[in-house]
Amino acid sequence: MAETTLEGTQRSIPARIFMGIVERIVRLLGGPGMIKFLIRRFLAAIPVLFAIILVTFTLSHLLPGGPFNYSGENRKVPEYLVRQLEEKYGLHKPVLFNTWNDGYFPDGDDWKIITKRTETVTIGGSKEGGAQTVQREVWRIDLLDSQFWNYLWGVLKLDFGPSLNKALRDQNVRVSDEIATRLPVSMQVGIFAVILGFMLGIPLGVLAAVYHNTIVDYVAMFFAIVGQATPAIVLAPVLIIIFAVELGWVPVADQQNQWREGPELSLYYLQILALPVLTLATGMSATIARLTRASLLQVLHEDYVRTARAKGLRERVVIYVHALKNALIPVVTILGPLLAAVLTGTFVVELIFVIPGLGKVFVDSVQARDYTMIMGVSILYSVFLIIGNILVDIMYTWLDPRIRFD
Amino acid sequence: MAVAEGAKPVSLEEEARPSSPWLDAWRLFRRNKAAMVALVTIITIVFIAATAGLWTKLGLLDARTGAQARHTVNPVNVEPVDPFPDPGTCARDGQERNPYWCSWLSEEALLDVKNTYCFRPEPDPTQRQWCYVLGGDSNGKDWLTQTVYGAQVSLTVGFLGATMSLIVGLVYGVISGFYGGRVDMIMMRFVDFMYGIPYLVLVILLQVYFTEVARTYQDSGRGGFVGFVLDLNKSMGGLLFLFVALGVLSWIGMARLARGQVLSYREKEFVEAARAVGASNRRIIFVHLLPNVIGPLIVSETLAIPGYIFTEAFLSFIGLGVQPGTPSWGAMIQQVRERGGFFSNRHILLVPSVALVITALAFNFLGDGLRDALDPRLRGT
Repeated sequence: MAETTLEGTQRSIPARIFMGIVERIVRLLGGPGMIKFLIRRFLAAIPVLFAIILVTFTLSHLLPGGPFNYSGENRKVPEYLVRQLEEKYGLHKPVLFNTWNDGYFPDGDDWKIITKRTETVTIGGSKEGGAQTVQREVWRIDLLDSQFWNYLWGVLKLDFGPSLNKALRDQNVRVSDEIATRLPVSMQVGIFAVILGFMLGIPLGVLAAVYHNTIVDYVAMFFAIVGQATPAIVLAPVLIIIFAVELGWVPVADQQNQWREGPELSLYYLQILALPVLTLATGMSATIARLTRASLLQVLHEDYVRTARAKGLRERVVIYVHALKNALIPVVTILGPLLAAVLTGTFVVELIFVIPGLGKVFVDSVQARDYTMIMGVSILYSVFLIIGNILVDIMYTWLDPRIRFD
Repeated sequence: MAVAEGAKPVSLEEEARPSSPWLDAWRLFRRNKAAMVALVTIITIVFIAATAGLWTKLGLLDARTGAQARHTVNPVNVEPVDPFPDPGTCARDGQERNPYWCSWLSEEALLDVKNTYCFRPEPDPTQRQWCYVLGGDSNGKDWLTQTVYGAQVSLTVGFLGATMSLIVGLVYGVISGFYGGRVDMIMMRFVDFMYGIPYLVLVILLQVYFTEVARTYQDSGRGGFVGFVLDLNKSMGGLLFLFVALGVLSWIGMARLARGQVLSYREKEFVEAARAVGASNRRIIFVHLLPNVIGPLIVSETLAIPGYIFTEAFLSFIGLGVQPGTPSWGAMIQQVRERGGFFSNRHILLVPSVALVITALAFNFLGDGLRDALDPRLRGT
């Protein structure tokens, strides 16, 4: 014990500052036990993610037709062209495993479990310098020289491959680039919707619980149930008709390419944001309001609330400081799935409001057999879902210090 | 003593009535007005949807598919049916259409507007008159008919989806919770894994796969099991594969709920007592645990039914739900969007939307009522 403190004093000043920051972060996250828990959760997420990649990969490759001759396209692509394209993008390899039976051997006739091969790589080829070919030795495992393992190897290096969709393929668009341009668009709508949903839902639920069994409660809950019973495919057209077509307050769809240019504080941006956000937030706030009301009603019957009242605290303090903090725990539970659903659930909204986000990309990529894009978006969604669930666990400990994960 | 005497007749009357947990629940449920209205609404919708074929035979509804619809098949020398007929417009097969209100006008008024609006050709007794009560779509197909047949699809998806997920989730959760230990751990790890899969991503992938397979083998006349399944799916309008796609992930939440319920009841005194007198595992599960566990599950499934209906509507909306040509509320809304219905002919958007909302509302209220009745501790929450 004494040794460690001695060491601590002997450390240089930057090191001490660094250790201080680390300590503060550890404490912010909820102590060393929490850190251990988080590491365990992230490690447990790896096999889940692997299995999801495997399932999605297998499923997407099971789809009839390929990216170069899928049946949705009327034009008939010549057979030799399809072969060439498949060779270019590595789709001629076996899907899951390259066994000795499959007949695909990278160089010649021998299939070996593990071997060293010389590979010819072309480097350069720009205007300044001519292309030069370099020979280098690489280890290869023939069994794993299949589409799936090559893709997985790419994913580990955060390389999600080129998009196979015709329009994007011709422009050499990488999947990660396409996601990087479209994800912020989806997130703009999603984040504002979550904020609005919570800002509407929690006060509504609190009001209904505080004025339990009065007209306020009934009205609030009626709106909540109606909001829950109205899906986006009904609400979005209705909102468009009322606010865009009839009243003309907002444009039906973005005409100034504002979505891609990003958030900016202007009237036009708020106008195109209003309807999609409102559509998403309505269902969300209805769910949140009902959850808040139910859990707050339960908490208000607990002993510690009675104690708080008995010691003469004002009703306002009792509800907002003592009761609400615990009542929010079940509400926070849905935040994780909600954050992920903000991305997945925007399919309809993006379709109806013509928002160039990720939702449409996914549906289109499935239709076009754009394998790499399907995989990229699925992995993104899964990662969001996993991170969302872990975030919920962290927020538990913030709201209720009794909850410990060690 | 006097108090007890006075209280006695009441309690006798109470006890005279047969009482069981389910009967008690029904008594509680009956007192809930909103839930009763919801129940009646659902029964009405189910009745109309179930007897749609009968209405069609009576001539109140259009024939099911577009090819058989009377007013869409036009004789050669008659101009085609106007797209988007207004609500209340009437048509006689192969003849000019008259607005419905023309029949209400007096003779003099009729003379005034006769040449412009109410041209009335000689009625042909062999052909029946057709009225678009709720208007029609871009092909002149009756919208009321499509809504009623769409209810068939929605309700089937809702009920069957809920039943399937209830059964699978119940069996899985009860096994996992009752046997505990390593079985529980392995089964719950699997559930955790399934929980990490994005729902819509998997459903969309499966639906595209199924629709493509169905389309590829549509005319090849395959025999055997695959052919049988494909034929069955085709005759169900694509619903079979929709169930499979929805069912793959929908039981996860139910399994977790069932397991939690079983865990909370497993260590209760009555189970211990049953075990002490030598009851078998099977008896404990079916006689002691199941009646206690199933209440919250039924409530949660009822509240989940709108979710299944919405998912079906959404899938049909993006063209991955029922087969094209099968009426579905989601497909109807999509048709409106495609044909510029946001700007004109809005009545045809309203009909499927209202149908969706009313159905979802009814199931929500029903679920709330069921929860109050089955689990009185949660009353009013």
